[in-house]
Amino acid sequence: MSAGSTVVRERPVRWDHPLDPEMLHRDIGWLLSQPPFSELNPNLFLSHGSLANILRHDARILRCEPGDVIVREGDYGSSAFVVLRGSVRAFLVSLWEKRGRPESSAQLGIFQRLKQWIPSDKTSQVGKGLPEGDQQVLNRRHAGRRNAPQSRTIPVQQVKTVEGRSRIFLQDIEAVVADFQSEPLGPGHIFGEMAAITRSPHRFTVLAETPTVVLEIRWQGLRILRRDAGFKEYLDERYRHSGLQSHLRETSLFRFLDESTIEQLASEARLESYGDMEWFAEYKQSASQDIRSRIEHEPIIAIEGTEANDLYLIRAGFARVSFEHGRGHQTVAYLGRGQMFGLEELAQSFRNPNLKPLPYQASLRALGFVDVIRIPRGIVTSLLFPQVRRSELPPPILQPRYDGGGRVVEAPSPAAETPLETSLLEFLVDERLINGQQTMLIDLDRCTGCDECIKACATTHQGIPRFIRNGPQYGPLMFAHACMHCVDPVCMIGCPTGAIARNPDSGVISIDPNTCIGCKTCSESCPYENIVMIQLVDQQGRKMVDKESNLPILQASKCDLCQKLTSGPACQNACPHQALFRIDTSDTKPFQVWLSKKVA
Amino acid sequence: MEPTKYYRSPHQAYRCGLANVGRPCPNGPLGRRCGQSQSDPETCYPIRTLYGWSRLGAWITTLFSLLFVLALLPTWKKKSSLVPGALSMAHAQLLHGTEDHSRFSIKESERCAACHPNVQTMGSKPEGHLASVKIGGQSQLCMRCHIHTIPNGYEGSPHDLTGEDLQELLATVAYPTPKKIANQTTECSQCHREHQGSGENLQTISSERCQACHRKQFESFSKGHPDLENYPEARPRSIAFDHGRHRDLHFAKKNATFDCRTCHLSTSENSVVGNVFRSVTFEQACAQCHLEPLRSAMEEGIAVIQLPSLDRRRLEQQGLSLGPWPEAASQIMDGKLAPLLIEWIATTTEGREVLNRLPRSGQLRDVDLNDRAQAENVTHLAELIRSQLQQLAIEGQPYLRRNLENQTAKYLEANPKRMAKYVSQDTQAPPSSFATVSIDAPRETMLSLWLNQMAGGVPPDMLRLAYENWYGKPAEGSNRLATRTIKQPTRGRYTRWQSSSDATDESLLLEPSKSPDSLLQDSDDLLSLPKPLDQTKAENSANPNTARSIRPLKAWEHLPYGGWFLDETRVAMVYVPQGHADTWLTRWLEWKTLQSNDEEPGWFDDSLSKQCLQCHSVGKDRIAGLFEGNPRTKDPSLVAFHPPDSPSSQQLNACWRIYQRSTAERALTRFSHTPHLTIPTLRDCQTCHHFQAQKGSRDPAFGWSQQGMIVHHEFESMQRSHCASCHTKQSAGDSCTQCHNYHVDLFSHKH
Amino acid sequence: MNRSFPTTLGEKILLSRSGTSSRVLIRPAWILMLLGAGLLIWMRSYWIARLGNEAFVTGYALLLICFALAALGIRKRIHAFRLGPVAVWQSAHHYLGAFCLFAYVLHAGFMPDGWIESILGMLFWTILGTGFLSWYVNRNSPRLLRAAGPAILRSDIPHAKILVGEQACQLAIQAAGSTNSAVIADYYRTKLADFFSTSRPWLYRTFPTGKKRRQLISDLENLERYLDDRGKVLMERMSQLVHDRDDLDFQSAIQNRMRFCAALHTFLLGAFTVFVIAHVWLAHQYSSHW
Repeated sequence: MSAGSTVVRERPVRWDHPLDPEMLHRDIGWLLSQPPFSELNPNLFLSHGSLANILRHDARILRCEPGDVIVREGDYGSSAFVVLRGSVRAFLVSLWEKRGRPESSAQLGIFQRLKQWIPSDKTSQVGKGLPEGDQQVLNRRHAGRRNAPQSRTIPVQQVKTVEGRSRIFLQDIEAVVADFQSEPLGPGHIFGEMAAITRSPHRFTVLAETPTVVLEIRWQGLRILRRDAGFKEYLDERYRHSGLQSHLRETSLFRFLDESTIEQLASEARLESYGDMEWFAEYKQSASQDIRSRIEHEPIIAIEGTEANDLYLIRAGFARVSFEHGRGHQTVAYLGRGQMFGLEELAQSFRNPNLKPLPYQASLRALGFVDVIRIPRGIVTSLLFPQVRRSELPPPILQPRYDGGGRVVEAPSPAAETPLETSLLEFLVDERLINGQQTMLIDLDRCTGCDECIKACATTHQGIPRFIRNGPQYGPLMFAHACMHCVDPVCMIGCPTGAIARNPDSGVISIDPNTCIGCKTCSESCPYENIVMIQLVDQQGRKMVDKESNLPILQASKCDLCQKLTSGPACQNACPHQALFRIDTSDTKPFQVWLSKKVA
Repeated sequence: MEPTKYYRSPHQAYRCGLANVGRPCPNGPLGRRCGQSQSDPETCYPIRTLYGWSRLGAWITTLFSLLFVLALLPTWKKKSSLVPGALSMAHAQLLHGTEDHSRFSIKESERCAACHPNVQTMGSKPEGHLASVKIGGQSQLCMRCHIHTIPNGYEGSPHDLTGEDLQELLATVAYPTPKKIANQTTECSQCHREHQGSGENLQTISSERCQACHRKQFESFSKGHPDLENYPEARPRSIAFDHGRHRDLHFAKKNATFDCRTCHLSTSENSVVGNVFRSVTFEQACAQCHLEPLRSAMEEGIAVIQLPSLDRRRLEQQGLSLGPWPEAASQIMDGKLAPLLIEWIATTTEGREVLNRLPRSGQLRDVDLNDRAQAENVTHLAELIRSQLQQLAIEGQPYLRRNLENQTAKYLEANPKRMAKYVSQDTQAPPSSFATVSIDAPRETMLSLWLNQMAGGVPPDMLRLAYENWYGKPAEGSNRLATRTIKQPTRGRYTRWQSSSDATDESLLLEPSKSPDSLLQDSDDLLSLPKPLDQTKAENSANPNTARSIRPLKAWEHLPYGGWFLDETRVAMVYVPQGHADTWLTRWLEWKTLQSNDEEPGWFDDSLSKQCLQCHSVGKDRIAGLFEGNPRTKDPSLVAFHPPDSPSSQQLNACWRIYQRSTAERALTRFSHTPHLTIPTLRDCQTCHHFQAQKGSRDPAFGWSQQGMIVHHEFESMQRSHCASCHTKQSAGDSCTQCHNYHVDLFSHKH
Repeated sequence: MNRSFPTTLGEKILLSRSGTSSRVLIRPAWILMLLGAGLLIWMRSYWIARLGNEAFVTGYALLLICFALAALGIRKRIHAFRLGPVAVWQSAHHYLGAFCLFAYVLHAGFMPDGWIESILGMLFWTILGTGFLSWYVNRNSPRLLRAAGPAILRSDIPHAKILVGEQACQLAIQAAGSTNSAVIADYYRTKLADFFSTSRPWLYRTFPTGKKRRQLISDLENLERYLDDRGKVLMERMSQLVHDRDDLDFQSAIQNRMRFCAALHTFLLGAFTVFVIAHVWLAHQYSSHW
């Protein structure tokens, strides 16, 4: 239970789970004759057998009826899609002003609230609470409420099961297509790859307009295909045009830049990715190693002491900022999406250009998978800084650890400048708690283990608690097994029905019980074991079983931060000893504040 | 250890038995049985959690206590099961006394109901509830027994007072009492808290309660309590005794020491002021000075019936015949009519005319016999007197009593207020339904008793004898009856007379002091009344057999112990009282007082009356009050000595005695000497009772009349500071109820 | 993306306060309690002054306080409304509990006589006492729990014990293999076997101490001179297991003690309520005036 204890789990071998076992040879042969695969250089892929081998394992062919939703806006996808036959429609505008997940953000009525605290022992997780019909009505109503002007038809989602996998489709697409601005994509077009690579939600919805055949390539395959320079260039171009610019604009430092600068930055920036995207699969395994060797195994992005030529902008994933301390490496901080590395050094040289520019003061390492944007120094100093307010520039480095002459001897002890004590910092990093935005933190100096929090949670969730009051422990701090609503929600990758989704307003990730089919994907991919599969039972508590297989019907359950309640997370309010908190661990500041309060 | 991926639900009543081996059923137990179906590989035996146990315990205890209470409630009318605390001792004894012993004993099943009306019929009024009664049901139940100690309790008004009494009380309150409280009815339990344990004294009332109404709140008796003005307040005294005058004049003259304790110390404590006499007996205090003059005054005796002497000769000159009339009273016009005679004559209309024609002074000597009319009137008078005496001689006491009764009735009719009270007694009596112990109403009234004593005191045979002596045999009209009735008594008379005469002879012989010259002295006294002596001599010679043995009676010789005798010289029937406080004398004086009216002076001018009335003041009111026989009469002495409604000869003397307040009477302020006299420094009465300078009182004579009684107060009022020196919270206590009663009698006559 | 996680009133209070629980509440609460006591006394004397039955005033005040105390239990079951964190309610509950004591003494002295009243009194004292007890236990149990190794769920302890026991058993078997470390196996057979298998005595469960653990471990260390290096390693691991097992026992003892107090505190409430109702009803039936 403490950080030291391990999970015995063998490392997943590549391709032992092909995406689609029934992939046929002739299909693959046919595929290879089709663009864009026909244009790839096959020799680049010999290390993985062959291109055909890659396709066999990392791709599959989907046949869609008109109206089938291939990609839904807001979903986290892990695959890119290539149109093979027929045509699809990509909607440039949002079909549902807010994502069509009304139940996720809906508040409960007063009677439902009152009903909640009528104590019931029955751990009855009422499965599929609403029949489909009601679901539609619910959708329609909410969509109708949100959707203005009223003249538009409201796209109604329905779930159907194709080849044992449930799929969402829309009714009368004609009307939808007529009402919403969209553009058709013919054979050979690629879409959805951006979300797959940068692990960001899809920005648009794609429907099958005609009976269509699309090829789904999961991102593992896609990465290999990127070895083909042309293909990579093609993808990066697409990204530069749509994704990158908006990404840059989101960065607060760049918000005053004019269009031309942004475009120039986008054109000059280099996109790089480090490490393995399945970090959550391997970090546990590496957890057994001691911290030093672990840090050394991490793929290095920028090395301390070397000349600071680029400004690194984290696009996805996490990076560890560390430097050598004695024989090991000491973590100073960790960077998440949108944070920068090397800014201080460049700013320093920008402030006094006549001096010799400082090298990187620390080194940047990839924690698992990291996508970075490298912006060359020239552009930064010439274009970027002039348009940035002085006040927003980082403070000058007074006591550099490295200068032109290499290592400075009388460097200050790093502990002074780290916000949290290093061991805690490294604990957070090692447990990947840095991913959490609503991490449940239990202060063991106050917790008496009265389980009031669990009672509260259970009563708010039909008698079943949604977290385990236990977990990794650092001194008096326990990080309980409750969903942290991560910055990088790996659990959302590959949810077939999109039942698990993030509420764009609150950022809360919740599972929609009405669309969850209990496929265990999320539960297994959650690295913190915060998603538990529970058996569905009816009101009397008898468990539900599947008609055909007669197996119990499972459903993924996790903390939904009580977003149905206005009063916030019940567990936190219910704690009689103020021992339980929700804290954003993706950033060190709130943690720091809380700790200072605690000590005071 | 590794947290296996399943949720713990500690708030379940049961937990999966397999959880102990680390692989619980996915759903956990379903109620008390395993949630898994039989098809599943392994099923568990659910274990009851602590939570489950505590909830089970909660249900059980709740159920048990519910049953307990429900089992208890049916018996709630019955006795002890619901008693919140032990009763005070008195009530406990009352309730738990066995049926046969205690006359108040209450059936076990009705013990609560004895004090709690709601118990009998839920919420409704208790049976026998009176709409007229203001107080609540429970207090009414209290009053069932306490009506005799708290007679006005039913009012529930402040201090049990109503009407003008209440107004008078409110007027005296220093700070105006809020009306709502003044009109509020109080319940007993508001001050007397029961069920506080057997040791609890229900009468200890905290001063806070008093100050509910008495809003002028002060810190303590020593600080802020109103000063004692005119305390002890001047009370009417039936005996006009003036301490100051006695000390300064009389005692000083005889240079005797004037010590309070000789008179006032007593051993009994039934007096409200404790073991101190407010008054002392005649024998103890007054006799040594006052007995002598009283004796000498009594030797004369009272001429109860006396014939006036009429001048037969001059009447005959007028050609009028006086008729039979004793020689001794036939020489000159003299004397006046005895009160009894007057009353008797006045019973008839013609008698009244005759009386009216008599001269104002009532002295017969003033009758002018030359005036024919007056002369006739005189003969007429003589006629009437004779007939009256004849009637009396024939009928005796009944006639006398009838006459007296008519007269008193006349008097009472004259004041209708008294009449009303006299006729209808104790209107205040409690409703019968509430009186558990009912005391019988009196069979005979005070009046009848009084009349009996008055009439019974007069010897009838002497009446006859007097008649014979004066008029000879009764008239023919009543001859038979007369002859028959006369014989026996005369014989008896003779014997008695014999003995009495012997006694006198012995007394003569035995008394050496009676020297011949003293005899001579006496004879001189006799000689001083020459004519009647001669007359008797002549009579005696007339019948020789008695002549030698019977000498004319002399009161001081023959009746030193009092009694009746015929005074031939005065032609009167004389009563000689038996020393102080002679019963018949008191009746006689009371009768006289009733008959007296102010425009007739000299009604009491005889020396004996003077002797009595210089100390005793018997007003008409008091005597009348005597007759009312009402327990709540205005004369406190009745209450003082006797249970109400039980007439006794003693009670008749009440207005002669000094009124001694007793604990039965409740004033607003109470004081007992007993505890104080234990303190050595206070043994000397004068430490508290200072003589007052004789002026500055209500009148110069220092003493004023109230209801025919003299109010005297020669002592200075007490000083609060003096009391407060001891009466502090620390030492002697200063709670309100230490000196004040809440339940008081009629308020007005305390002033 | 900018998120707006709901901040309840409670959180504001929590943020506004620093350090251990209800340190901020303290001063106002005490002042409030004094005011309340003053008010109660004043009302009582006022009632006496209007010749009322003061027992009704204090009694109803007491009833009110009891309701307020019970409100915590209700609050714990309501999560749908913004009622502030339970922590605040609980500290209020504590102060009210202390105040309740005062009100009770004012109402009924220490022990009334009479059937229902005395039962009611006993129930009251029990509940109040267990309340204070669990308050005390709650105060210092985190410290004790922290002292006893890593936190563990109460429901997991039995399983954990079994695991530790098994490990110890295997260790003993392993030790029995070589003659140089057989003493450990012997010691296991004589002493440790039932230490690992049986549960601790009542005295320990109520007042857990580290005495037994120290004794066992020192015994183990005394064996050191009979052991070779491998044996020493085994001994170290064995003593570690003893340590773990004792920690588990300690944990369960502390947690059970706490739960038990809480259970005692709550499970008489039903009975208490029944008697309170009976008492109030009777009081109204039998008393002639308020």
